[in-house]
Amino acid sequence: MQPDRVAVVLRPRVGWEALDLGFQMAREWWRPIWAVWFALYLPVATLCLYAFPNRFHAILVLWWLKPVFDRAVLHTVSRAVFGEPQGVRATLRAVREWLPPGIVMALTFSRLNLARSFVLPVAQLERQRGSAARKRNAALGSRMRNVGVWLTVVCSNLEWVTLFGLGALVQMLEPAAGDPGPDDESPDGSFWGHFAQWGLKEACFYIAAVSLVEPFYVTAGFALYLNRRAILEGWDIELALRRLEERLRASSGRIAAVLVLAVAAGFAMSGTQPAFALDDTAKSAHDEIRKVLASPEFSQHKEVTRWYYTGKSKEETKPTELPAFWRALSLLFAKGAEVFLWIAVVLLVAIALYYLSKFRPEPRLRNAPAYRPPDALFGFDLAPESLPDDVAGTAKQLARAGRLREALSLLYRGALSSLVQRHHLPFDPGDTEGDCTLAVRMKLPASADYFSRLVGTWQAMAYAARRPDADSVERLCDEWRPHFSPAATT
Amino acid sequence: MLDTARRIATPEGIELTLRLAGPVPRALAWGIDLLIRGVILGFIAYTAAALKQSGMAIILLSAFLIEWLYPAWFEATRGATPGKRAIGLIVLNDDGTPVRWPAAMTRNLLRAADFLPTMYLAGFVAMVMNRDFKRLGDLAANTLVVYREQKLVPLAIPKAEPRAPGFALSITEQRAILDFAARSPGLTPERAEELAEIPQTLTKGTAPGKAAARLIGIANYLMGRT
Repeated sequence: MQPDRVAVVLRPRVGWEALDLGFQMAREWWRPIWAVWFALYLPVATLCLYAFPNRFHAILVLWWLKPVFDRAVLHTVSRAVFGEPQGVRATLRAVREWLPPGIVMALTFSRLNLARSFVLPVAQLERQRGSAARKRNAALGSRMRNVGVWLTVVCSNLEWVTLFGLGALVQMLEPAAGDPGPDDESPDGSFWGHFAQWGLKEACFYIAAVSLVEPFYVTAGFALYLNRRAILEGWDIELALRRLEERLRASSGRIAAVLVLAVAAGFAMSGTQPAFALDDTAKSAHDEIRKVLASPEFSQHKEVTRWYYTGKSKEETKPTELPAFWRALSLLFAKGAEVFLWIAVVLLVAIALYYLSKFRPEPRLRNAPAYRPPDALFGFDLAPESLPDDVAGTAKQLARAGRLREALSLLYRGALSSLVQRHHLPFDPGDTEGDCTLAVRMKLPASADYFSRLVGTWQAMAYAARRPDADSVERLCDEWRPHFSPAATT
Repeated sequence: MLDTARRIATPEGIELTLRLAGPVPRALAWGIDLLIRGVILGFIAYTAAALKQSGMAIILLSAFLIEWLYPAWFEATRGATPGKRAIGLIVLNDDGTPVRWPAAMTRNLLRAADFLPTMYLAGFVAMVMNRDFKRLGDLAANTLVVYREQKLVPLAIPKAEPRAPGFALSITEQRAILDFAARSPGLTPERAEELAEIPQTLTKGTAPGKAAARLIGIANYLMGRT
């Protein structure tokens, strides 16, 4: 093993850190590692499930055979660490290299070794056997074996965690139909008890769990081994010393070169004027200064984003050509979308028009007869002929005579008649007193107060039988004239 | 080069190396914490059982508080739960600063996500897929679990006659020689000699088999021994 070709950073790590390095290795080279794992494990697992009708036996055999698969993973990862990554095919072809060394021990006496993945490299990579292997393991494991044991403990627990986790996940996601009914429920009625029956599903969970955890277990054990060897044999020191030697050699070479150059330059410069040299140093100093000022310590970078008009874009990016079928399909989609959009636009316009027409005031019909003031309102005859010439005077006489009702009605009738005939207020036969007052307030604000008082008095008497006093009626008569008499100017 | 360390630069321009902790030590730390929590809860249950009905309330409440606050409180105030401390781990923010309550609460409340579907399967999968060994709670809280810096102990360099190296050596090069000297007693003599012969420029002119002694002499010189 040559430390300078190792693709991981070697430094004396504490045991746990070495395991972490193994997890990083598996993450880094996951592709070849799991490829080789599945290439071996899945066929064997299928075969076992097929060969043993009792799933539990199949699982037991698979568990027992773990060291075989471990070796393929270790072969792959060790090659990758020492800078010769190998693909699945190369690994499978090199089966004679990684499978035989110590496999019998691994499957028998060493199968229950608690630091299994830590001692595996000694057998497989160093090919130590018998008492030599035991000695080697003792030397390597003098401080780190307990870490390897803990690794085994944690990884076997992780395997169970994954197994139950997958089971629980599937049970969570399974529709209710897959729920075991009360009849076929396991003795203790729980998921865990159900597991003891080892159905095909559970066997698959086991295979998945082992596939997830076992490669990590192998790489972590290998990393622990690597770390131990690096400490014992000073691999990191070797690398550092090599680097030191390289540097010293290079620099001593440089010193010699500089000496030669200086001597040569001394000879060459002996006849020239020193001014040149000075000039030269000034220039070089200038360059030096510029270089220093350009370094990141003396500069301040600010990122500013602005928009500039850079003229029309010269070249439009060519759309990537799609196969004809997909182009046709996308065109079809585009057309469909376009048609859909147009339909949507038309619908929107139609809806808008409908609402507009609904809320627009009723248009006046073209051939509608010209407005004719109504002849009567509230049962009053409004024809001017029916009124006396001097409405106010007549009303006052009536009021004086105590016929307040007639006086008021005359005033009211006269006022309405005047509004309709002279001011052309568009009263409709169906308007109420309130409507009339409102119309007056809009069209003749000057008369509005008087008119509303008149209407109020009239309403009070006509509908509520509240007789006003004669004075107020007379006052109404007096004030009537400037507002509504034909002679009055408005 | 694959490594388990993560280098971060402080605003002052100092480079710190954080040694990230992976699934195995963290699982063990969790196991120790589980044990401690179990003992505490067992003690509470044992004493509260005398109170019948209200004792049950006390047990449930303290179970809730211990489950959710025990890790967060220790991480926010001490940087590590007792389990992590026992393994030698500490929780830090991504930038190397100690965690405070918000981050500690976030990463511990997110245990619920890491726990899914059972027994922290999601957390394990997230951890092994992540360069920094972050579980989901760490990803959400921007925290790291790293190894606590060990106390620096002076290098135990065997005494020898100091010798000047004869070359100007950089800090890392000096460090390499000091490391060699400090670790040479643990190496086999052959291996030590083999290593010492690598920097020929430094050990030139030594008798065969004396290269290691020469390097140790240089180390003594570098230590400032006279």
